[in-house]
Amino acid sequence: MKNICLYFQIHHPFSFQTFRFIEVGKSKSYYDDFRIEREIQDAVTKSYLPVNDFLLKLIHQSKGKLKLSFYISGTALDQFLMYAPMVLSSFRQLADTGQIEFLGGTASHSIASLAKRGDEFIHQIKLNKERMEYYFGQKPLVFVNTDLLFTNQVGKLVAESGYPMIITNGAKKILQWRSPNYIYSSENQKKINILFRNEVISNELTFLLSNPKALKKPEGMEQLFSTLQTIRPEEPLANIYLNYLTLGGFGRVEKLLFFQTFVSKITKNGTFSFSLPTELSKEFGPVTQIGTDEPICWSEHFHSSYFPGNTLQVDALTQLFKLKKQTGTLGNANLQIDWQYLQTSDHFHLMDENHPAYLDNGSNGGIYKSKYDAYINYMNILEDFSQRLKAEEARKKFKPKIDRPIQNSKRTLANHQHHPIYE
Amino acid sequence: MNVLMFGWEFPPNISGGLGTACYGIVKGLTACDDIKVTFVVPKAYGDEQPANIRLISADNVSIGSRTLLSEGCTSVTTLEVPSKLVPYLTPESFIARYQTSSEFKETSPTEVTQESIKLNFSGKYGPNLFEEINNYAIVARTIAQSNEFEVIHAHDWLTFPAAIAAKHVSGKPLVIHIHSTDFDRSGGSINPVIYDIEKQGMEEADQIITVSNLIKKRLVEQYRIPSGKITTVYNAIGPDSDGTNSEVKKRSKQKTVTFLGRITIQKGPEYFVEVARLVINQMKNVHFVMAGNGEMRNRIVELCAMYGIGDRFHFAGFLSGKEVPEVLRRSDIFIMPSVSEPFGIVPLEAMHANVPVIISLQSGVSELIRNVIKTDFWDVHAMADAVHGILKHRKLSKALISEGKIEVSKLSWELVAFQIRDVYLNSIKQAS
Repeated sequence: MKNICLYFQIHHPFSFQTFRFIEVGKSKSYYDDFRIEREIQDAVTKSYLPVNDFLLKLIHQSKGKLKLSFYISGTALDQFLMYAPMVLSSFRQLADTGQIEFLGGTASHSIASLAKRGDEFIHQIKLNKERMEYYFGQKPLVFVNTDLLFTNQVGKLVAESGYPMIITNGAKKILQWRSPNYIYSSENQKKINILFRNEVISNELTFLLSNPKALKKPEGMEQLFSTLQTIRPEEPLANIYLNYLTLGGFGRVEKLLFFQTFVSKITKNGTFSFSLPTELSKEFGPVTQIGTDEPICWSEHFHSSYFPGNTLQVDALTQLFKLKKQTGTLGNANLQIDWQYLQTSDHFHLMDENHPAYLDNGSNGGIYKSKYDAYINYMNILEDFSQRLKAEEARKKFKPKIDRPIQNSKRTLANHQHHPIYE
Repeated sequence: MNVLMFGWEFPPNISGGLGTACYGIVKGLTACDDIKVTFVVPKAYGDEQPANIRLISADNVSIGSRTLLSEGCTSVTTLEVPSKLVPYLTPESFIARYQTSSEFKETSPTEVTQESIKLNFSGKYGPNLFEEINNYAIVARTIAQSNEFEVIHAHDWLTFPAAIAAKHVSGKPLVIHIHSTDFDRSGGSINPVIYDIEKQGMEEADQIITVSNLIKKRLVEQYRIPSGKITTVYNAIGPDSDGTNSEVKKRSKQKTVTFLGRITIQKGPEYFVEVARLVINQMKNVHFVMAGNGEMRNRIVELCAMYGIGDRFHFAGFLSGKEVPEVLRRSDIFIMPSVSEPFGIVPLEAMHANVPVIISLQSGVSELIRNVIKTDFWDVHAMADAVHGILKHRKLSKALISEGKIEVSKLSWELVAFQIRDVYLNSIKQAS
């Protein structure tokens, strides 16, 4: 029996708005709230709600044969809470079928794993774990790092945080001749098992789902199944990892029909079955150790050796994590939230010239025309954030000595207005 | 393949990008083995030694011929036609330029050439640009009759009547090269006569080369030219432009932000002042330099005085060809906030000279290069932000410099010439 694990990733970043250097220190919000709300509402109404409903029906129809895993990023979860809480109950419904596994991640789709020190990463993992348990009633056992980023160091820190498994991209760079369809264990931390995303099958399914023309032809499905046949009988599993948005959006009806046929073909076929990664880990152990110090990753637009990135990205990252020490001791919730959102990987993706936003000479409606704009904007925001940190520190020192109204109360008040949910 | 090219004077006698571009294109074409160029240039005389000019043609046309490209460019023959035409002329500026000299024109070399051309001039040689263009066309006709060529290539509207005349005489296909249109030069208030000449040239042409898609779009929209016969060929810079001997810049505390170009409405100098105001209010040790001259200069000086930033805003005046690379090399940022820029070669030179560049999205060059910061010309806040970012973050300026340099070093006039050659072949195929 060949086990197929289907994973869906859901992620929405808190996109920044234009932030000029003259606006530093003027209590301007960092986030493009209109755009964030528009995008999340769009995704919810056109994808998440209808697709969840459809999957719920499909799970009931398949009588326990269809099993799925979801990774919902911390920022997406926040946005659901702010703008579309009904999506959460929809996911809860799915979870109640018992056929769904939720995967854990970082609290804000953060790239903290690239920082020199591991403390922020571990902190983020812990935060997210608590939230996943609270909202979905499941203790996550499989860890999804941002952009499926993996190095030996990541494996070690994740194991220390209590996860027995991590999923990463089955890039040729790390696997070489090996197959992605086995469970491996990490080289320097044997406690953690590694699952590899099967690049070939995942990309093919994504390609089919994003091409309405290919969906209608029967060849597409045949091709997909012939690819599935390449999984050898002795191999225990294939990890198919997709963006959840590929199932919804434009041409949703055709996509879902296609997915339905795919599911029914697999459940009727004697050689395949759907499984959850946690079930499999009980059945199969790791075949051998594997490891790398060079980061491997997966994100839709970039190649598997994308990280650690170009000079701009490295610089922004270094400047960001220089502030870690100051943020650690602060009790201010607004600063904590901003600190987390500043770490989201999408801001750093935009500092690469190969980002799809720059394909058309910057005329796509995004706020950045090039990676340089993205860097400048990010650094301005970081500068503002660092000034706020300093002000907060000064305030804390100031407070116990004299009993009178806080000097910086005006600023704190303004910040509260940006995040009503975190009052 | 022989090409009859109506072009413009080469450096150092240039007042803008047109001469540089012509020079580069001709140099690039000489690298193609199968192309021979007969290069016709108007020669503003008076400051020129008559001894330089040699009669090479019969038919009563006095034409000077000399080799301008000595280094290995044997396939170019240059014909110099005595004429008062210079690039970027408008009828008004033409009058301004020659009005004063018209008093002593009786004794000036004008008279001499008029005789040697032996054409039916009205006798009164007033400062009329269009008459001058027509005279040039008449000369062009003679040249076309007495030279062998397969294709005609003309640069910008002043040469169009000449090129059309050459086409009518020879029946050979015409390729015109648009470096700018009257919309770009006038800032919107076009001269209908110039528009007519441009449109006629475009309609007569078998193939049109534009320096950017921006101009191509303008041709389609404003001149109603079918986009099928327009090809965009971006300009380049030569390896010898400058900067080859540029030593490592000394990092001083004082930073310089430079504007370089004619101080006219289409170059957007007032936006540069706005940027300066925004930055100077926030940062110390930043100086803004505006190099160039133009009709808006006094207004800009007044604007600076009004903002009270005169102590850190400097005017460098008009720079000669040699001074340009020097000023660029001393800059920490080069800004081109052009409202309308058909191409814009100076940003490429700045990148070559290891200077981070900010350009407006309304310039043709922004279609070509990626490792610069692009903003809308009116978005002074974005531009000021970019200036601040580059000066503040060394990693950013380093990335811009190193990646920009790599990008610019991939450009060459040879590649440009190769694309132009394709256009020639197309036009010949069409004509036959």
